[in-house]
This record gives sequence, structure tokens and C-alpha cells, in this order.
Amino acid sequence: MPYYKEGAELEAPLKTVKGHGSAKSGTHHWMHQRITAVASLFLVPWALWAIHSHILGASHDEVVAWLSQPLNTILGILLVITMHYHALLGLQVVVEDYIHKEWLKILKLVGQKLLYTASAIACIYALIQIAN
Amino acid sequence: MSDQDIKSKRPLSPHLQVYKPQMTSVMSILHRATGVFLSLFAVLLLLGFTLSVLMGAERYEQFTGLLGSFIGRGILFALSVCIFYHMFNGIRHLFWDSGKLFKIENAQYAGAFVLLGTGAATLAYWYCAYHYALK
Repeated sequence: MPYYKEGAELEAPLKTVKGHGSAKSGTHHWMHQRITAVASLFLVPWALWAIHSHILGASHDEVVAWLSQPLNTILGILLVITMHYHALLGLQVVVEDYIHKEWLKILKLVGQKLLYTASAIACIYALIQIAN
Repeated sequence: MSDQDIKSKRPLSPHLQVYKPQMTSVMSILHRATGVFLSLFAVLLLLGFTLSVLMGAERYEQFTGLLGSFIGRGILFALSVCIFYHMFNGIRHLFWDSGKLFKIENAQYAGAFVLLGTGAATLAYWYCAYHYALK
């Protein structure tokens, strides 16, 4: 007997079962938080070093010149993506843990996703424009 | 009894009002607190920095002037404490994730290491800022 009938969904039926408990995306979230954490262990010290050696006390021209070097633009974009994504994952857990009014929880979760996406895009746009 | 009533009658554990604060629990909540602080101010700093550099010398000087003010420096100092704490304690968390440091005394030694490291790194960072970078 074939596993599926014609016209049936190819997705496992378990996925469409309602109230599927913890079988959501916990591992995915956990893993991404760790990956961005490890990435930021390299990117944040780089940024802290850059602040001291290229940004503090530097003129606008010098900052633009430094940020325009390809490696710095790329590391800067990676830093922006990593920070925004890691912050968003963390804030999501905090909201899920402490906010119990369903509508407020969903409002905050969606709102912060939109806000952080917009902020990340603005930062990346600025870094690319500066390099031009 | 409604669903809401049942939920509100469920016991909470640990009951924070009568629970003695311990190094492990206090450091755990501090990891969250610093994380929330960073997710607001570190992200704002990135956004303000990149946009003000893009908008030209005048805007950039306004931005750095804001950061250089008394309140600005205070926020930057708090940011640096949060960055070092969250970074060092994050490493401690990664050790836990790999199944290490679970013995209570090891967790506490690592915690003391995080606190000392945060203090030392913050002081070193600001010392360098004033004695080398801002010269």
C-alpha cells in the first residue's frame, strides 16, 4: 500500500497535528544562539580593538577610510548580522518567559523581529554606502 | 475552575521571595539582564555609529559629542561592563553546554573567574582608552 494518496500532503502528518507540545523549533533556536555566540567571540573583540585603534580620536575622514577597507566592511556587516540575530534570539526567550498575555507576547515578538530586521538592514546599507 | 485559575494556582519553583540568593542564580539572572541591556544599547550604538558616519562629518561629530558627554560616557561604561560580563559568562555557558563545569564548586570557581575577568577587562579597556587611544 502506498504511503500517501494522490493529492495528499507530502509533509509528515505530525507537523500538522495541533498542540504539538515542545516539538516546535527549540533545537534550531538553541543551536543558532550558540552559533552566533561563538561567532561573536571573534567579532566583538575585533570591534573592541577597532574602537581603540581606529575610531577613538579619529577624524570622520579617517573613520570612513578605515571602514572602507574591504575586510573591515565585511567584518562590520558580519558583526551587525551576528549582534542583531543573537539579540533577537535572546529577547525572544525573555519575552516568552516573562510575558504571559498572549496578544502582548505576540505583539512584542513580531514587533521586535520587524524592528531588529529594519535596524540590521539600515546598518548594512550604511556600511556598504560608506565603502562606496 | 477556569483554565486561568488552574494556571495561577500552580506552584512556582523556585519561590523567589523565600529563596536565598546564590552566586549561581544571581549570575544567571545577570546574564539575562546584561543581555537585555546589550540588545538595546549595543544595537543602538551600531545603528547610530554607522548612520552618523554615512551622514557626514557634522553628524558624526554630533554623535561622538553625545557619546563623549557625561551621560554618554556613563552609558558606554555600563555597556563595556555588560559586554565583558556577557562574553565571559557566555563562555561559562558554552562549557556547560559541552557537559563540563557541572560540579557546584567548579561552577562557582568559573563564576568567580567571570566576575574577576569582567572587572579586570573593564578597567584595562578604559585605561587603554584614556592613556593610548584618546592621546
